[in-house]
Amino acid sequence: MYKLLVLIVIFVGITVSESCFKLDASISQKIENEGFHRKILWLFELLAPKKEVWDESGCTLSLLFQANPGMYVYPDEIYDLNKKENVSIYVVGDVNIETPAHESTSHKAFVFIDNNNLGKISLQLPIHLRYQRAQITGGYGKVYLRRPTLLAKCPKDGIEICGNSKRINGPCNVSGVETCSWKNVTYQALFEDVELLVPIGDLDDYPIVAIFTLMLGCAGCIYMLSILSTASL
Amino acid sequence: MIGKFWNIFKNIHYLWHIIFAVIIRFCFISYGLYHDQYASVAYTDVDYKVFTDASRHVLNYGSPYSRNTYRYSPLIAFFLIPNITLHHAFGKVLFSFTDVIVGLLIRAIVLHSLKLYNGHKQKHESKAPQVAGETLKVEYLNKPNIKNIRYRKKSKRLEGQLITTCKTESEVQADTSMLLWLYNPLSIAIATRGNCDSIAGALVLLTLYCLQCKQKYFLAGLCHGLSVHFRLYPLMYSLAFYMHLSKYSYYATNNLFNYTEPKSKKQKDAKNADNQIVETRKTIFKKQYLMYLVPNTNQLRLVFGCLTSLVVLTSLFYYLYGYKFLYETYIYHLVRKDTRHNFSLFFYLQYLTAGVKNIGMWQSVLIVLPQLILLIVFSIRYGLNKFTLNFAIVTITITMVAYNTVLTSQYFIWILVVLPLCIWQIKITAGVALFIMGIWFAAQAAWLVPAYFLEFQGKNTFLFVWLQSVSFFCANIAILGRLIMNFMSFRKVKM
Repeated sequence: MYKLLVLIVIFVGITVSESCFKLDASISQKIENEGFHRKILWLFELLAPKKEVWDESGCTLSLLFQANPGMYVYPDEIYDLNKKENVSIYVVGDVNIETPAHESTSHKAFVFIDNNNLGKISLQLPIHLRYQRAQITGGYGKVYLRRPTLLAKCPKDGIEICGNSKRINGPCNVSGVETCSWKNVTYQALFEDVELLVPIGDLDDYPIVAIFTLMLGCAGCIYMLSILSTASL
Repeated sequence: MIGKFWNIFKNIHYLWHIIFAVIIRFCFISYGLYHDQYASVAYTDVDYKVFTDASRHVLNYGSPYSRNTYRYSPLIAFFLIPNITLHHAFGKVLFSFTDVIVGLLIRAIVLHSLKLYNGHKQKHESKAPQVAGETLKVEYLNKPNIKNIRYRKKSKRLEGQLITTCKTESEVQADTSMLLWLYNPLSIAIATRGNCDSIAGALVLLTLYCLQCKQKYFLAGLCHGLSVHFRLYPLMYSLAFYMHLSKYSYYATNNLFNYTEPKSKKQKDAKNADNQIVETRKTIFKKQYLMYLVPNTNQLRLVFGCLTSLVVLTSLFYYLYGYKFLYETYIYHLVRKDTRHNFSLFFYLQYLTAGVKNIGMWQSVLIVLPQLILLIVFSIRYGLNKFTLNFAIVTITITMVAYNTVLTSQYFIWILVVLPLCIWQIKITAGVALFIMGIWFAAQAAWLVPAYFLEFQGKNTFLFVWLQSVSFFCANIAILGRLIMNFMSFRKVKM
């Protein structure tokens, strides 16, 4: 009886371990363009499991990018990109594209990874840096670019990616209609952390800018009035 | 060669120009459809998609303001419903037809102004002033243009049926004004890319048409209210319209140097002066000028018309869409603070002080006060003269644009809509006109260089962008000054 019980436990253990598979992936990252309009390029590579196993599992992957207040992902641009390019991106949260960094909030973008092309796949996400509050001596401000989070969801019962990492609720697909529970998966980051530089206004310029701007506005008005006083009607 | 071509071109019947203009716009719309399918940078304006999305919401019994960044009248969303039900280029076609209507309105207003002006000139020809051996050479614009007829005869032989009528000088002037709009690359691009500013321009011109050509003041008020509802900026024209209908308004065409103070009691009281002809008048503030603000019947018609359309539309859409409508359509445009770099003189100052709490009121006052003074002065000075209402609108628009705290290329269309109305009154040579245009474009180009390095190269060129904004402001003011100096100034011929 005791031996039978041990056998059952071992059998159940083996069954469970078979439905949980290990995911091994690597991501490299590159930033394109300078200035306020950048593009993040990721090269995603699935090392394990093999493609056939992955296809059978029915699982899907996505990258979650958290845009901090110093930057934004422009939903209209993403809408066009989804239509024209072979990408699937969904932006979560309200994005005000006009506000400076200190008046903005963070938001998220889900970049869905196409299961058909799994192996090596390149992904892109255009981002825009916000104006930062002017400071004494001006120079450049730093915007820290967070690493993307790799997420996975497996809809089939009993199939799961190994590990006890936390779960995140997010859109199931690019339509954003339904919400799914995504599992945070670790990956190999083949890149360094990046800080983007953004030009900042110099508060030392304030006195001269204020005096000259306001005086010029007044001078323009006086000039016009002087012309009016002599011009023909 | 260019002169010959231009003479032939402007003597073509205006309906042919309308047809050409429509064809050109259709070509650009078709090109836009093709371009958007294949190019990564879209031809269509960003806002056009916003309008279409807002229309989709309206079609689904929702609010157009459910669409992010929709900050226009709900009317646009209603007008563009066929974008969803018919074809997504419908809005562009609508804006292009509005463009053509703008051209026709320009022609009608200029023709009316010339008719009024020539009639007045002919009536008072004998009263042409002579000062210290000089006389003003008055050009009668309704006489047949012999030079044009010569070209026309020649070109008739060459081109058969293309030229169909014998135009008077007035018609040529009116058609030239219309052509400046119809063939303006900026107006073509704006309409065919799907920007709605041509509708706002059409409403402003419709108000001027009702006010001057039809003299239907309540109707003019309705149009004015509609234009203010549609786009807030025509609100600045209100005082000029009001002054135009004042019983103190007058007809003056002469040089200010010949100014004579009206002496008769009749002139001073200015009662029943709607059609009074005062040769010259200098507009300098006096206490009795406060009486100008006391409304007469025509002014009341204008004001009630304006309030009727404005209140009806605002109440209706407030009832439908609530506070969101009020905020997005009106309040947002009043409180908007965009600190990102733009052509405005005030952009860098606003950016530096964004988020700084201890900025005194004096800064806001000094930003607003100069333009407010100019707007009032232009409204009164050029609004009171029956011949110069159009120029009042031009000067007000240029002032408004030059002094705006946010200034992008889109705002230039506000000037381009009304500028052709008074081209005939601005006496400058083609060379000077080209020089002015050159300065204006050069100032813009000079601004674009540091702006490019800032935006696309990430270089800290804020100070240089500001310096170029300063030079662009100076260019705008200098051009406005030049226009004023050459406005209604007739060539003096030594006797």
